[in-house]
Amino acid sequence: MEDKDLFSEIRDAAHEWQEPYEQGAWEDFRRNRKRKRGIVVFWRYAGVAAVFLLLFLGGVWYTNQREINSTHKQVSRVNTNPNQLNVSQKPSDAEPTKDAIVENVFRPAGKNRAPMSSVRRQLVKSKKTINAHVVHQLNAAANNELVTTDTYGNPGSGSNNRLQTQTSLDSTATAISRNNTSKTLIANAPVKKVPPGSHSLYDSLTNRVTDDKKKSNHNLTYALAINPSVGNKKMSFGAGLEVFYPVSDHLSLGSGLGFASLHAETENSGGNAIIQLQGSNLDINGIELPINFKYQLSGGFYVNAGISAVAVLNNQLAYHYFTPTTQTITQFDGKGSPHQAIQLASAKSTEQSKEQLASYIGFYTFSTGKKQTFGKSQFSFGPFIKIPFNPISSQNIRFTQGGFNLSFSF
Amino acid sequence: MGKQELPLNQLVEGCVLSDRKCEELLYKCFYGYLAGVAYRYIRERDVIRELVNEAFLRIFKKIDRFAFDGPPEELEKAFKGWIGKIMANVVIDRLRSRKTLLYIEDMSKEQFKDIAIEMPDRLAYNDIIALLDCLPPIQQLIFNLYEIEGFSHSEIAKRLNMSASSSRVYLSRSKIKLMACYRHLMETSYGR
Repeated sequence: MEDKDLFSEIRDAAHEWQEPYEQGAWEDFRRNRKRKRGIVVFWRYAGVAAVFLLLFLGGVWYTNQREINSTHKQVSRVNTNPNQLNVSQKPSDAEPTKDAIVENVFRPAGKNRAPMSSVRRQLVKSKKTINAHVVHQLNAAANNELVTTDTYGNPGSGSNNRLQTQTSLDSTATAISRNNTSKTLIANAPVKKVPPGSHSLYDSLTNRVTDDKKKSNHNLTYALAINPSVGNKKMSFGAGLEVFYPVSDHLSLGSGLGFASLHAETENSGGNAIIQLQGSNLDINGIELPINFKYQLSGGFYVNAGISAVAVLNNQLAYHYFTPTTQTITQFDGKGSPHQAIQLASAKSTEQSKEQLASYIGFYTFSTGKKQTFGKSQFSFGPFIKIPFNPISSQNIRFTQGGFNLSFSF
Repeated sequence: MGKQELPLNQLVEGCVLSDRKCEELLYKCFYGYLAGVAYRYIRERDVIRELVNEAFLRIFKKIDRFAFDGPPEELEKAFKGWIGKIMANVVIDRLRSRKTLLYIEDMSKEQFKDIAIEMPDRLAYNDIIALLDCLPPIQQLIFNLYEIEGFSHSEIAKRLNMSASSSRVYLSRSKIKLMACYRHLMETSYGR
């Protein structure tokens, strides 16, 4: 058979050949496709959910801030009005001023103010009653002391008793005077400029949620985080903004947005080959979107578990090869005559891969750490581990990383 | 194409519209062909099914890109060529992921001794496989890609991270070795 005939024969035979169909192959294919589609759909929904979550958290934060700001403005306007805050007023007289504060807080400004709602009116009324009751109790205490004095000064007792009674009367007189002074002090006590939301008695009786409570229970916590990590023989880096929404006293839901710069290097064992793949380098930059749950333990310690997705902005995959080459060199023998010799040398070459890498990388993230308070801000630190859902390239590069997380809450 | 009830162009159109029945029919019609292509590169039957499924995933994903303007009788050949290239790409990716793309060329004569050709005038598929087995892996790979799948040298060079001239050298060596192997086997089997 001629050369051309042989190769065309091979070509034709190869194109005509069909392996027998394996039973169940189509069903197997459908299952695989469904699973892969499921993964893609999951990530799409996770991305959309994360965006909505961020929007929701942003909305909650914005609403809270607006409420707090408006309350601050209204209370400070009322407190700075000298006509409404008369320091010489008695408690019962001072109450309208406080009521005015309350009323001003709840009622819109302007001449055509709407009347207070029945609930608010009832709250103000209860407060008046409570204050009157407190003043009445204070008066009763003073009267009791006077009654005690009368008992000590009972005529018919001995001279010693009289002396004691006299002393007692003196001390009682002083006590009454002190009592009267204290009463005057209470009456003349200036109305404290209380910060908004700190009316403890009023709030505890009306079960009103104070701003402090709001802050502790429902306010978002923001943190700037940096997380250097090591994995696959290279160092990676991430930084971004984290937002935590407290779900309960110990549990909070976190999300955020960050930048991730991931790097990995793999090595391949050598072999008896003319060209041998020695290893590969993969660099990825992307935007990271985490969703995680943080559980607060005692003593400021916490544990964190969640998932994160990195949307790949750019990537670079390079392969390293060792290619043995021959070099012709001139050597001189013992007589000094030159001759050509062939020398074997290895040349290292790097080539960029054309492989299409995945657009998204998913990670399971686990971390633990401790939260330390410095003034108004908090500083958290602790180790973390990131495990990817699947390998990144055909070279089976996995971005499994371990590192240290540092974050500043504010 | 014995089991095919619809013409290929309608099958392809149905697959573009994600018609489940068309996809199933296309899969069952060309499964054997793609398994044959894969078998020329990897001799592991259990892996072949997985590779064929991966190739079909890519085929269904990119089937809207398949275009053919030639005569209708050439359509099947063109389609086979197109899906054969996708299959070859999947196989190359798998070989690269194993990190064992060995570029060994030397083979001992002992490797020829178990090969026997049954039909000297008309080569059967098994004979071709037996002949290809005579070649070192890199030559076998390049011969398959160039001569059978129809890749150009520049495409092979990109896929295998080598220069186009290296690909040409490997191909010419593979042809020389294949011819020598064929003659050697003819002599030992039939005394020709």
